[in-house]
Amino acid sequence: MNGGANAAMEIKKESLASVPGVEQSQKTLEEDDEFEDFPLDTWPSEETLRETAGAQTNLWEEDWDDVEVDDGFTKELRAELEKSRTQQ
Amino acid sequence: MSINLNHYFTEKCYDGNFLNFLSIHDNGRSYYLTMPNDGKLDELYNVTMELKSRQLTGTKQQVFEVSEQQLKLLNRIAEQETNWIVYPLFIVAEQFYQISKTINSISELERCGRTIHRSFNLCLNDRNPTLPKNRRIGCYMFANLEFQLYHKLKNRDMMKNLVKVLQSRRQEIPTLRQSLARYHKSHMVKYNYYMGEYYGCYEGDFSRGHEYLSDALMDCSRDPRLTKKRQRIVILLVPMAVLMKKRPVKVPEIYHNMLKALKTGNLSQYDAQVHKNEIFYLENGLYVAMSLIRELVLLRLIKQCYRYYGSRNILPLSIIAIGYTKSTQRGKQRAKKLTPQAERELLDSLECQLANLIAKDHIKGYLSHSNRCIVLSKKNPFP
Repeated sequence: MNGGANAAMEIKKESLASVPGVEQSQKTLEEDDEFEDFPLDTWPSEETLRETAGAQTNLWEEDWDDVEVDDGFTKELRAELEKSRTQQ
Repeated sequence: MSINLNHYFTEKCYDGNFLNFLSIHDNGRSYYLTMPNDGKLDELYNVTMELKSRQLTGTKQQVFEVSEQQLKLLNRIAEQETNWIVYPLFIVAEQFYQISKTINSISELERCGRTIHRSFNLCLNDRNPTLPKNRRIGCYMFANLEFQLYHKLKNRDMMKNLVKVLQSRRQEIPTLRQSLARYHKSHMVKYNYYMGEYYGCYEGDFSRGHEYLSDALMDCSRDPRLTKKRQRIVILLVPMAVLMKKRPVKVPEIYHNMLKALKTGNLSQYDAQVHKNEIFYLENGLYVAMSLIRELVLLRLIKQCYRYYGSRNILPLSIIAIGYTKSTQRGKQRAKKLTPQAERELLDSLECQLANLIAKDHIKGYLSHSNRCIVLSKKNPFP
């Protein structure tokens, strides 16, 4: 039974490795799995992201609820829902 | 060059030469210690000298044994000293950890953990009332060494114990920012990273996970040598932030489709990326977070349905069902006509998922089962 589960896992890993991008991100993370070795011991407080103007706002935006994303999916969704609205 | 070790213990201070003395690497200098003592300093001197020569001639195991002795001795000495000793003690503990890693055996790593835990405790439990001299400033740096060890050992219980101790004593110990770690920013980042990972990836406490991890990121500098560390933090931070309803502007490539799906309410796209990255999410403790983010994709879909249906406060479940079917089907595949039985089941399942969203305050409104619709708050349907 166990062998079967392992084999399934192996196949999964292989199929993942064949997808470009995934393999790459996995490799770099495995190397980096240990968060321990820092190339620098310390740096001045003024150089931290905390002290760098705009670091916070560059990372997050408030909300995107009003942002319309126009892709194939949203177009079809919209068309279908608007159709059912007019039908009623 | 010959270095007199006496004055470090009389003046209660250290410098680079003292750290060199403690290091396993022989730097061609000679050291002497002539001050009368109770024997512990002499022992430390002898063990340290032995460590330097073992480095050249001994086996890994011999080096490990001597290094352990050195830390044990310095632990005993440190108990009688003020906090000047904390950093030299940390250097010795870290050196011992590095040596233990090269042996890579569980029992040796556990021995290393026990001795370092004693260093941690002698910082944590210092009762010296003169705070500027109190050794408690060192506990975070030793905690980091322990986190690293428990990671290697894959021992989550020991991590949990450590976090519990730190939490229960947080009133008595200096804050991270007041501690010795403030002179070693990499340690502030490490500590926040490990705490954030612990809460967000193992304990399902995404709010705390998010808090610690964003602190970790904020204390990094922009130095390109830290790029990998920043990326690693961001990998864990993004899912926590999304669950805290923060909207990341830029995300690592692995999250591109997750983010797209989240913006459009595309469930099949979301599920496809979870499927594709499943092992990665499992290995990094992100799977639970990812399962919960799916709920936010559904929420987004319902908002889309609401809007495209003309923003009316009564939204028939049949409309949500159209959107849901569209969102869960893959590619250009046409929706099959549902049997009345299957249709009923779909609406029941949607009611259930909507009830969850209402309970979690993502939606303001109530369900009417008899009318098969959701009645939304006119003021603020999606708080």
